[in-house]
Amino acid sequence: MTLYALISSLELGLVFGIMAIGVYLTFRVLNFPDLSVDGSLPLGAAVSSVAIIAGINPWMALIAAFLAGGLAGLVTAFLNVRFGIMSLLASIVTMTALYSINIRIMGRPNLALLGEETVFSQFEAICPAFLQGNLISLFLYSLIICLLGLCLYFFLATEVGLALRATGNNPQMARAMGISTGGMTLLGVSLSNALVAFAGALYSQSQGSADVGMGIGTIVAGLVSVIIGEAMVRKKGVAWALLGALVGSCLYRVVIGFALATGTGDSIFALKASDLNLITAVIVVLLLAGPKLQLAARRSSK
Amino acid sequence: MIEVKQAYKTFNRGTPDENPSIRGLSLKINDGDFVTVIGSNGAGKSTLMNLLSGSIQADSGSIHIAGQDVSTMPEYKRARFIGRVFQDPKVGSASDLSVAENLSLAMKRCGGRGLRLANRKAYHETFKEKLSHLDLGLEERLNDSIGLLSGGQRQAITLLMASMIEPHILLLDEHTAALDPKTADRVMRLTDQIIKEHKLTALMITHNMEQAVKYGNRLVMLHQGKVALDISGSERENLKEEDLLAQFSKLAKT
Repeated sequence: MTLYALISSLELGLVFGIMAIGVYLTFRVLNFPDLSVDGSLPLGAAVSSVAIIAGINPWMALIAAFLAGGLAGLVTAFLNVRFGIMSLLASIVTMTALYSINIRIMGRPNLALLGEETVFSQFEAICPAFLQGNLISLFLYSLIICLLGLCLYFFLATEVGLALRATGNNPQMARAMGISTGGMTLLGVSLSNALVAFAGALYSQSQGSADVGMGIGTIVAGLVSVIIGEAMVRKKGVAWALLGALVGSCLYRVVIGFALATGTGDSIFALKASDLNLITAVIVVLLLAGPKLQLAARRSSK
Repeated sequence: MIEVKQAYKTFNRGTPDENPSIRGLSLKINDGDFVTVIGSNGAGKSTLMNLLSGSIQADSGSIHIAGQDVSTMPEYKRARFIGRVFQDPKVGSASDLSVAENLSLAMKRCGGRGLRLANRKAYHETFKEKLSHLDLGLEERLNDSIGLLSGGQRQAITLLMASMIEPHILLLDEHTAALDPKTADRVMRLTDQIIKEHKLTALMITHNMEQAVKYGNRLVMLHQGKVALDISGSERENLKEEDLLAQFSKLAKT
């Protein structure tokens, strides 16, 4: 694996780390398995791209993507809270609807940002000279993630944030403590999807394109990141979990990058970029089955 | 004051599993009353508790707390009047949150949550002082996850949480039933102490006749979703376990 490939993997790890943090929010904090992220990631990309092409400032485009994602999350949560539709089902419905909506927003299945201003091109212009090429985006990603991570960390420590965590951990107790668990679900799922859409927007700005299919497998990648993160960072607490999701995301992208780099060749087992989802699924199974397999191995060795 | 008027609640209405739980129950609880509620399985004790707390809503009838009609008020809004301790010690607190975080939640039971820091250092003195009254050494464990504590310790903390901001009524749903006899006794004495100290109004469901007679100033026996017996005053003071058992067998025959 070349240094260039490593840096590209880290970049992907960071930008999808924002998505992983969003998934952590629903999957772990709220205990609300949310598949709508597969739709809100391209939604963010679509909104941001359309906005940029319309001449809107790329930073404003990121904010617009954030809000659009929040709205998508709100729909999922509303279906669950108001009509009692199971979280998985509600999110699948939203995800499916978003596929059509995303094409509507872009006017076609994909958009290219040829020669348009992005946050990266703007940042490059004001960047100190020693940062070049890939390092520019790596630096910008780190900056944005630190900012978002800190905001989220402090939010989860506030009274509302604590109410959100209590809702996911023990809804019955939360209601007895005067917490509107429905309201918290609306807030948490929105925030999660907003972050995911934001990640999608940032990614599309770095790639210079948005594609309706780019969201496929988002939830699985997010879950892998959260689970790898938990295995790596074994300390309890919100700060460690947020950091874990980020570390997990980077590690996951590096592993994938490594697999794709070493697996190339002419044999029928050579890996292609399109094998990504298969590799991801295998990693998920290994991670989830790991503890059981270890236990079985220990038993049989006795 | 809490007033339940002609409450009805039937589960699975219109199905073969139809189960009329509360059938025209009326009950008035005065401020400062400590009511023990007994009754055989299926008498409607837990349903009454859930109707009061708002986890379920009555089919008909009304519930007033502190002069306010709360019949259709959602559970989380009613929480401002009500402190609750559940039968299962795991239900009353959030396992993944620390002791201090759980207690911080209780500081805002009556609402007003904003973007201020939830688990504030300024609270910790109060928390430590209240925890030290429990005499379980918990004042040194503010930052431990609640999930690490024993059932008895969790139940004691739930009791603190329920009474942290003085509730209009404290609901205790067989809250010592899942504990070993020694711990159960300790939690029960703590409960009595907290109720007396803050002069709380309380409603306690119990299957333990000894508890039912020993604690409280009023006893209510439910049978088939109605109040079958309501004893207070001097009659209540002279009440013995045997009398209750006799009442049980009398009702069982009807």
